[in-house]
Amino acid sequence: MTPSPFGGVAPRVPPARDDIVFIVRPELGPSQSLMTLDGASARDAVLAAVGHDDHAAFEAYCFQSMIEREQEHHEDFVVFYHSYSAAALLYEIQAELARQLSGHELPDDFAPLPRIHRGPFDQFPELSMLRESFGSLKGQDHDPKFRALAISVSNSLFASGSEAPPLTCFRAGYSCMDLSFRGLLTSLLTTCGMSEQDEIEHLADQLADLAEAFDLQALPYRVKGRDLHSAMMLGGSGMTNNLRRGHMLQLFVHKDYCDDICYRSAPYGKGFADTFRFVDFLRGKHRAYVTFDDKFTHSLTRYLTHSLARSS
Amino acid sequence: MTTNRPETRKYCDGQARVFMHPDVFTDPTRSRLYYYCANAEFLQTDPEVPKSRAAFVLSLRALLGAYINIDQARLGIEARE
Repeated sequence: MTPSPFGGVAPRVPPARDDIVFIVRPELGPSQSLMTLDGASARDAVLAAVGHDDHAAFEAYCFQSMIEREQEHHEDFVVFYHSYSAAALLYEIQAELARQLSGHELPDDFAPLPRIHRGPFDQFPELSMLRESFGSLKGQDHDPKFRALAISVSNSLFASGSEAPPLTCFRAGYSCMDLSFRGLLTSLLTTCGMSEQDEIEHLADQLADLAEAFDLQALPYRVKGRDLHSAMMLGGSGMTNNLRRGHMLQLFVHKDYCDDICYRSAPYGKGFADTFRFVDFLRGKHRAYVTFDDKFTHSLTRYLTHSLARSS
Repeated sequence: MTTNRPETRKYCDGQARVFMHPDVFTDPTRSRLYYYCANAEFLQTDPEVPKSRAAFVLSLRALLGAYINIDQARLGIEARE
């Protein structure tokens, strides 16, 4: 990997098909994900997830890079994984706006950025305030107010207890369909100062064309209104497992800030009334919940995840 | 193999939520973001590679630049509600 202070990862030439390997290097130090299972189990889990097709070696290489990044940052950072697919264009636009706003201090390989609009954070400047109002949010973490502020993540590469287990979601990604990506895009363009509706719609179309040209998901940005699910079901998505439209962010949050901006949750974002702290987790006080020894649960999770991802 | 003991399960079931304030996630002292994707060509960092992310970023910059004034965008993105 080429070092980048902000986190761009420069891949090598994709490895050959028959070079499907995943090597845990204990000499690089501990890793948050590997705190939950030993190296052999990690290797077995990765190799089972990537399969044996033309893309398996590249995926295994990515997973190994992730673990090595974890080992590199384990001393000071807590790691999370965020899988996505349809949001790719939006995150890329936000990263480009962030680069421009930083006067290009952020490099061109700066990672896609899930949130950029600061306005919603004025209403909930701290995570604790968002959590206190969680009960009043319709749809819990699907509420637009919540979505404007927070994202769903897994706290281990090997976690299988979420809607988007990182290993199994890597290829196809993960996306909700109960929102309008076109609406989010046009809203962002309005926030950026565009006011003529025809011009906004024209640029949105051009951005969707650009996404399609680079094999990112474009249909979610062409569908007006919230009927994304129906449009996808009619076959316009081009979303199959082979198109490899999965994207993943590996987020490291410094241990001094982590428990101020992150919380472990149940599905739909509901928190637990306990004293769990990620900084304790990093120190090995708690172990993550993983299910690689539970073949039925793992298979079921993988099947459901891929079924959902393929349809999104 | 790891066993799913109830006493470990109650502490962490594998998912979390992150409060994504952009000031935190553009500050390398507080966070680091690394990007991966399943499309090996898109992950390439050489803009000469036709469908690389690097080429995409340049095209995206040109397209946005034709429509968006960054000073005006700053007012909207950083505006207080």
